[in-house]
Amino acid sequence: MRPLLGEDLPDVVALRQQVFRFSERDSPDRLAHYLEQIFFRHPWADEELTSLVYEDERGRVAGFLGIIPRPLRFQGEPVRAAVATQLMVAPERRGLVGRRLMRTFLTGPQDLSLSDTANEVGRRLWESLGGSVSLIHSLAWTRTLRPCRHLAARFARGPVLRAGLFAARPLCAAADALAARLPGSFTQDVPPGAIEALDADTMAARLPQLAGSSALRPEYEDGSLTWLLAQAAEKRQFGELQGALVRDAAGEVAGWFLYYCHTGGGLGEVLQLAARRSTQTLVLRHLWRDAWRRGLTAIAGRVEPAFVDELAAHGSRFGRDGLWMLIHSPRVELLQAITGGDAFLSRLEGEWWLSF
Amino acid sequence: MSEQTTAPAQSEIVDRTRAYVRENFLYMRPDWKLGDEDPLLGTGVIDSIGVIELVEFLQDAFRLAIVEDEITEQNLGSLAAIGRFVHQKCHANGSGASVRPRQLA
Repeated sequence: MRPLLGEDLPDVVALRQQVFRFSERDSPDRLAHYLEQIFFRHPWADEELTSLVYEDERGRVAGFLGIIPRPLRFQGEPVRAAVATQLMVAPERRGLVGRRLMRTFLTGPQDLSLSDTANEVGRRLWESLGGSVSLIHSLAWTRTLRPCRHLAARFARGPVLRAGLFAARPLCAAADALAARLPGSFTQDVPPGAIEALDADTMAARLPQLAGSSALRPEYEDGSLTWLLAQAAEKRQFGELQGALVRDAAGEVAGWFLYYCHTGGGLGEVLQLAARRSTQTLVLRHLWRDAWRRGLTAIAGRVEPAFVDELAAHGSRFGRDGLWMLIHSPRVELLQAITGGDAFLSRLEGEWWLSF
Repeated sequence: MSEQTTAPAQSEIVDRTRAYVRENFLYMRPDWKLGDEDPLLGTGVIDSIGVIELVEFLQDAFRLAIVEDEITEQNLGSLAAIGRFVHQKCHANGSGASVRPRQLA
């Protein structure tokens, strides 16, 4: 077990191709370049928090765990957090290697360990090493915007039903347009205030006010957000990254939204929502409106405890999307802040935004 | 009055663990030869989750506590290694006086 070195990257790429089928990168060179960006060029360099590799008896890289430091603040004081991602072990070495990699990580010098796209195997491994799950952050919400097309797309399985759905598109479009005009959950009225372009400097400057009531929040004031948003924009799995700053009718900053959407419609995925308690409804209404105007049939996101009431009040459905948010800390107050809903931890703070 | 208990013999530990491994990890591969010294880890028999389940089985079946530092290839790498490790643990727990093997269902 040792820290990841630059010369290991081709071996890590080869290991990843052996272990995972899906990659957003279309060549090994591009994947290696991306790994270098994420694990060596991030703005939070910390010599004690580096990714780990397991080298077998013949000196080959047979295991890997990506680690990204993430500075947070708890009640105004700096907190050293680290995100674990891309745990992989060569099939012929499975057994204890994954456990050793994860254990080495969890016993590191960080105050808080996070992983927010874990599957069931990752969850069991994490829990067996003393970690826990934030159940509230492991839930997802979905807000339907075009009920007819959304339902049709969900249930149209197989070529015959898909052909029927295609033929029924004009009818669905008419029904959805009617639903947007009638009073009820699918109404798309124009919210007060306005939206405008969102940039990293504004986000960094405004977050302390918008997340002011959260005991635990990210540190964006260090200039890292520009890099982080540029990396998040590279993710293409859910379409292009869109975002807007929301101002209320008096011109004051109410919050913002960031989400991914495909140009052809479908389901959008929220990366981050920020708003004060009093402006959450306004920010959500602008989000629904923006997503609706882009042709989305529905929009989804991870549950952020601060938004639960407003999401529920606006007809969102809650459920599981299969991913677990895992947390580990020797500091009980940090765990309590997260599980008790006293933390601003969006998908931008974990590993969800990554796109290997 | 406490129930009379004895520490399991090493051969019994190996046999019960073999039965557990066959039933839970090799049920799709009944022809797999599983000798006492054959490696369990890194050969496709037991993966990282399997290790967790194996440790839970050993703790439950032989009434012992396995700590993180003991989860090693040396202790769990083969049926024979498990037999030696568990046998040693049982005897370290007061010569087996507190160990009461549980019948497999």
